[in-house]
Amino acid sequence: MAAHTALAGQLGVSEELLDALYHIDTHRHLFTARELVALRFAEIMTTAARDIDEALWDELQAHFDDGEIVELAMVIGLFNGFNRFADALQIEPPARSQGQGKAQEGSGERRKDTEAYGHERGATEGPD
Amino acid sequence: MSRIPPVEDSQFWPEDKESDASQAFATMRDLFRVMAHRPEIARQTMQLLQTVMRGGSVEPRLKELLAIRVSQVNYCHY
Repeated sequence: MAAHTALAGQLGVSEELLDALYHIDTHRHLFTARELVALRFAEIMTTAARDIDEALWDELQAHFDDGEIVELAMVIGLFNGFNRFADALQIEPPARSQGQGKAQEGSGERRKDTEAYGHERGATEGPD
Repeated sequence: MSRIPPVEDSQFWPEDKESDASQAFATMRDLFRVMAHRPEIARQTMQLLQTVMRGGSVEPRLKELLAIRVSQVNYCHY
């Protein structure tokens, strides 16, 4: 959601990195193996948490110890919780103040779908 | 507009506090202001968020990437 574009802006995570994250399958070279495994874990845990298969688990353990995996799972779990909380209560992210990213085209009325990102929709990376 | 009005003067989200954690999550201010209808829940959730994002040995930047990726997946997954 746009909040996280704003979040990204504040964290110094550039729009390009955001785009790379968004189209991760074609931007893998921008991330370390460790980051890619954690990002994959985030995607699967978010969409189908029961489907964390042995292959992904082994990769995770190759890069992270048990305590670190707990950290990753808590970050992912917390933000999934926040997303649901915000959706259920229709909490709109603050409009992005500085226009440092792509200006959001389209109707002024904030539509709660990917247009809010100001990006065209990338191919979603479902579990392959 | 949020179905539950944010608690305007909730001080759970210190405007001035310069610590990077609160700065980084300023965009979640509205979320915490809504949560502030139960101040203790908001306070402890904020504390947990900071502990999760800043504690341990996984680099905070990676955790921030994960937080962003979760929202991307949640809002673009069809």
